[in-house]
Amino acid sequence: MRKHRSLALVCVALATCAAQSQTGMLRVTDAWIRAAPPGAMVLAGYMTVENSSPEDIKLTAAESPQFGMIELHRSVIEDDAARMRKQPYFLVPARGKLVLEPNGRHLMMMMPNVPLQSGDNVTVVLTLDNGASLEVNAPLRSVR
Amino acid sequence: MFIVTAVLLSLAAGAWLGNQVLNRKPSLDEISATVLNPPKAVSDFRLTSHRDEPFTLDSLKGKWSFLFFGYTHCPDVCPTTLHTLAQMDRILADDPDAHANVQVVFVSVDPRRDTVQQLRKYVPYFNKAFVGVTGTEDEINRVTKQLGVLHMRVEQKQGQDYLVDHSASVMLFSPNGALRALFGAPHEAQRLVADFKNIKELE
Repeated sequence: MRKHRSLALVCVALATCAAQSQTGMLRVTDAWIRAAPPGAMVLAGYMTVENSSPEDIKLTAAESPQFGMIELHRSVIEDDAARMRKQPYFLVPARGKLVLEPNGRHLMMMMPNVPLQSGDNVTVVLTLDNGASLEVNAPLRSVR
Repeated sequence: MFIVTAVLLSLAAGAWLGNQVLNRKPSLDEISATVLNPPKAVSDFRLTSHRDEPFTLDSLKGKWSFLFFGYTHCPDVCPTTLHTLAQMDRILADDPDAHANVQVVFVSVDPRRDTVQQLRKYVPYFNKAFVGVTGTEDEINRVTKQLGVLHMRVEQKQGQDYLVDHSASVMLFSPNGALRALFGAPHEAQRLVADFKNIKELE
C-alpha cells in the first residue's frame, strides 16, 4: 500500500526530461507535508529524492503556488537542543539519495495561501542547480 | 543580553544535570530516560493556559505531567514531538491505570508570537486534552531558568521572521510537582510509555 502510494506521488515535470538527458534521472518518492493546526504559518515538507545519475545534483530552491515562500532547512538535535537552520542547497549525491524527514532536513513552507488540511494535495516545484525543475505532488498528512 | 543569559543558564543547568546523572542508581538502567534522584523541586511560577486560565506550580500537582518546550512557528521538531506525545497518550489510554492523572503540556518559548489565542488554535489540534501555556518573557524565563531549558531566538538574515533554538527534551513531573525525569530526543511513543510505567514503579 505504501509502495503504491509512493509511486503515485512521483511526478516529473517536462522540464526534468531535458535534465535527465543531461544529468540523469531524479525520482521523488514518499513526498508528504505535515498537516498543521489551523492558523499555522509554517509547515514542513518531506520526501526522498533519488539520483540515478553519476553526477551530484543540488536542490537549490523550492516553491509552491499554495505557499508564499519555501526555504530549505535542517533541524539538528544535539546536546538536548533542537536547532533549525536555513540551508543554501540540499545535495542529492550521485547514485544516492536525499532524504527529507522529521527532525532532519525538510522544506520549510511558509505563509500558506489557503487553509490546508489532511488529505489536501500540495504542488511543490523543486529547482535544481542545472537549471531544471521537478514538480512534486505532496499530500498533507498528520503522520508519515 | 538575552542570549548571554540563556547560554550561562544552560551551562549551569548542564553542570547540575551532570551531577544528577552521576547519582543515578544502577537499578534504573532499564529506563532510557534520565531519572532525577532526588527529584528536583520547582519553585512557583505563573503562566497562562490556552484556555486563558492561570497555569502555576499547583497545576502540576496531583498529576504526572509531560512538559515539552517549543513554539508554534516551528514546523518540524515541535509538531513531530507533539504527534509522538499524542501517540503516547493514545497508548496510555488503553491502560486506564497508567492514563489516569496524566497531562501533556506544551510550553511556548516564543511569547512574542505565541499568544493565548494562537495556542488555543494550535495545541488542541494534536490532542484535545493537551494544555498549551505561554506568558511574558519574564514569566517563561522563570520556568526555563529553574529547569535549565535552553531557548534562544535566532534572527534570520532575510525577512522579519526568526527561529527559536529550544530544548528538545520532554520533562516528566511527578504528582508532587517535582521534576522526575528527562526524555532525550528523538522521542518514540512506545519508549516514552515503557519508561513512564517504570518510573511510576519507583515511587
